[in-house]
Amino acid sequence: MQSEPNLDLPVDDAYHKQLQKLKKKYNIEYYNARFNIATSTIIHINKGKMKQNNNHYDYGCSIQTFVNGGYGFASSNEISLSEIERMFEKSVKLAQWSSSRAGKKFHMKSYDPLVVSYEQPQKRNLFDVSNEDKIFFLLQQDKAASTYDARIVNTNSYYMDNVSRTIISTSDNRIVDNIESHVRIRILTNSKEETNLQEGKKSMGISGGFEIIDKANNLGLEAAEEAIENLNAKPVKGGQYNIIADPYLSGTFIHEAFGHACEADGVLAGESQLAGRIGERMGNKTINVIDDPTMEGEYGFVKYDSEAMEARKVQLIKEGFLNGFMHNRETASKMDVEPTGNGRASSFSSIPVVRMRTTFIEPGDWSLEEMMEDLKNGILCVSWNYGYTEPSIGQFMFKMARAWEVQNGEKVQLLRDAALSGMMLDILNNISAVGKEKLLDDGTCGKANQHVPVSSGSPYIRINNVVIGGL
Amino acid sequence: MENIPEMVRKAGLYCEIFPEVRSWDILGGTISGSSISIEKGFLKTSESSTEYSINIRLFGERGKTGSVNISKMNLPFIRSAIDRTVSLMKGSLPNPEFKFLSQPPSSYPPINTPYDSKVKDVSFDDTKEIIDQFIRLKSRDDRIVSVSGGFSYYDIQYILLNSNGINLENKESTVSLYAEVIMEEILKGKKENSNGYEGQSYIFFDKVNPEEIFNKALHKAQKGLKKSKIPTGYYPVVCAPPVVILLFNRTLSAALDAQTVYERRSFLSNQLGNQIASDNLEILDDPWLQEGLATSAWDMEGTATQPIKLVENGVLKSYLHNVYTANLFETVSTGHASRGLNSISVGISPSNLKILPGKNSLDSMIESIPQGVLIEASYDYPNIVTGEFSGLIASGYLIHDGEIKDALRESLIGINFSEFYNNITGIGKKIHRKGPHYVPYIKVDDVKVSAKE
Repeated sequence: MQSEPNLDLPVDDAYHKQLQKLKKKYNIEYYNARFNIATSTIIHINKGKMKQNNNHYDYGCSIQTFVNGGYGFASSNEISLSEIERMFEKSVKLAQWSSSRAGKKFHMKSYDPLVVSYEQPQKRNLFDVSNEDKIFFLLQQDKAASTYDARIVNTNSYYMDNVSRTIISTSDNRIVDNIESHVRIRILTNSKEETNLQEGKKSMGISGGFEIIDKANNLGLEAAEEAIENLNAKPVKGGQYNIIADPYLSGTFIHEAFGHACEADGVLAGESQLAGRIGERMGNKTINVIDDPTMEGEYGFVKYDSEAMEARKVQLIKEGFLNGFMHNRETASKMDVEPTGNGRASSFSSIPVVRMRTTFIEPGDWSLEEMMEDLKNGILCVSWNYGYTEPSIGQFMFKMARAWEVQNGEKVQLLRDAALSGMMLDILNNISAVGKEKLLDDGTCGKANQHVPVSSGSPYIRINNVVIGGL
Repeated sequence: MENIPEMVRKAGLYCEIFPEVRSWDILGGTISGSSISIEKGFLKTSESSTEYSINIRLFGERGKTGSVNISKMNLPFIRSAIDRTVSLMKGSLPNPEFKFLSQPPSSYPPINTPYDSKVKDVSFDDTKEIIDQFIRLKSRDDRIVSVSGGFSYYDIQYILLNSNGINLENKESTVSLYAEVIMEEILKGKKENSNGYEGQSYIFFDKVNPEEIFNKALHKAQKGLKKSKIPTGYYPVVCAPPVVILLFNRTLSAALDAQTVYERRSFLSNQLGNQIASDNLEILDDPWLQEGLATSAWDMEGTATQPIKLVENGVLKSYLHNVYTANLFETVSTGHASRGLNSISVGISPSNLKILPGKNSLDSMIESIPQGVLIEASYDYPNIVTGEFSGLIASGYLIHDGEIKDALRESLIGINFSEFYNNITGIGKKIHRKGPHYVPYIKVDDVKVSAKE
């Protein structure tokens, strides 16, 4: 008899009591137990053919303990009271071992007890949507892309959703029962004209349910259009330019170039150029940067983090000055501030680390037309492929999806395959104009090999003296 | 809990009862081990985990497919998941490109995957010496502001079963150590920072060489403090092993993936038999290498492996195939099916990839350059479709009058691979191992370097 997927976990009051009993038995300062069940779907269609039609069922729990400056962590695919006891003991032994060679000792702060359940709203519940409906929507996008132009030689279309229930139980009696859901659609296209091969990419991700299809209806067409346009793109000539970055690239820029350096774990580890610089000027007074987990529906929406803390908005830059860092429980304890709910883990089997949520630059007062006119000659950079940063030396790099050469304030030539690099503190100071309208984009951040959904965005921004790598 | 091979076999028998399932395969296994993380020179976290995974793929008429990945090891749950997957499969689109799964060969090559049975029994006491060396690293130079890194060791056991009679079990062990040293120094009134990263993977616990890793990370950080610029232009560059792995091994592996080639997403599509590089370039994929990290008698579909020359005298000799792409090209699989234990999709990847040694010493290559660049690290990805690359020189040095000078600041390289591979003017005679890659230093002329003015 076939049963439907569900989010049942055997965790009840007996588990929380057992954990508290074990805390007393081993006399430890802090624990964080997470119990998880998750179900996800991946569909991959390649030019009308089914390549992957997959369900994934994840199930398990982990226990993180803290003893005198050291952490222990144990995870398992079994959930039972006896397994909890075994894992707790193991985790404590590991924490004791870590403590024996830990650096500066510190105490983990406790917070008010909390018992709360939260289920992320889904306008069209993913459990109520058949797999056939998901395939049908994706196939429409795939067809729209592959039939757009005879020069489209290949398409790869992906649908991914995930519904995950996590019960978090901590030593300070914070019990959070959290159901979150994410959906992402991604269309990749390839175009060919003689020996010229190009690609186009479009994606959309939300936290929520199958309502994504109301917004993602044109993804296939847009991805195909981009691949065809890129046939006319020329490689960028490497060098130093004044640039305008579009909202999506600027969002990646603020995530990579600045956001990571504002994660307090990196600050405390001596791996951020921003250590000890709260209150210092980072850019001109029109620059405001926020990490906001509260924007419902955004891919980076978070209600409670993986440490049972409320996710709170953090203003990273206020009117050009460095204003704050993002924290988990550990960094908040060490720096004696309130946690901001940035402790996120990609799954129950990973340790929560400080992560961004929805990170963006607040709008300014320039229109794009004014910026282009004022730029005169330079590059208009459009969207992104990937990016990374080395916060310890303040260096970042990201790859733009494409760009336009601008002459006398007009777009004159489409460009491709350009990389953009700089030093974080220089670049923020070189932002010379911030646009009026902010747009957000979905993405996946891979810090510490843990991939979590994030959003980032910005208005158009103009940056002077940027090094562009090209041929 | 029942053992995984037993559960996989029972799951296989259950798949057989559905007449609509024409073929199936199951990969099931366990990854167990520990990892230790170092932060600011001290031990921070010790982790231990055991993860189970069963991945089932079902194929029906006209290549209809459904698959499932399960981490809850409970037979009724697995059967129920198979029931749902049969429904998934029935509602799937067809894929006429799918023909069949791997057939058992008459025999497999007499190759054993190297395995260290001790890894599963390593205790934290056994790691004390390595951790203490890690902790002492910070005191080796006053300019160090942070040392971070990690040490992990995993035992992996898995079973691969399919409806054609493939029934294989294997064991692997992997031990990894990496370190990053961050330094700071005031030079000419300005604070300069640098970081040095080094890491290595091993099969055998006793082969771990922490001193070598730590010395290299420290040395790189020390070298990176003093920085200078190079004007934007075209220069000869010497690629250090990590960059050779990125720009040769990884780029070529991705471009020679037959699925990518078939979909015309590779700049090396239709290049079989053509000169794609200078005639001194020879690349061998060797799954039979003794003590290689990717040594195995069979790939992740159960196809027997064999050593294959990918590039000979600069001529492209072979693409990399699994069974699916071999059917597309009407050829046989080259034994390069790859699949992670937690992954449903079967991809394509090389085994132990070797660039054969050339005749040049590193010193002679550097000495031959009046003005150029030594690149030690870049973390970017090539564009396999266009065959172009533009990326940050994350760690690189100016070469002036045949000598390695200061580290480069804010510099990027731009490459068109067709030109890049044909501009090789030197291949080192010493081979360096990094994971499953065996590569020399390689010198290439006329590479675009862009830098801050």
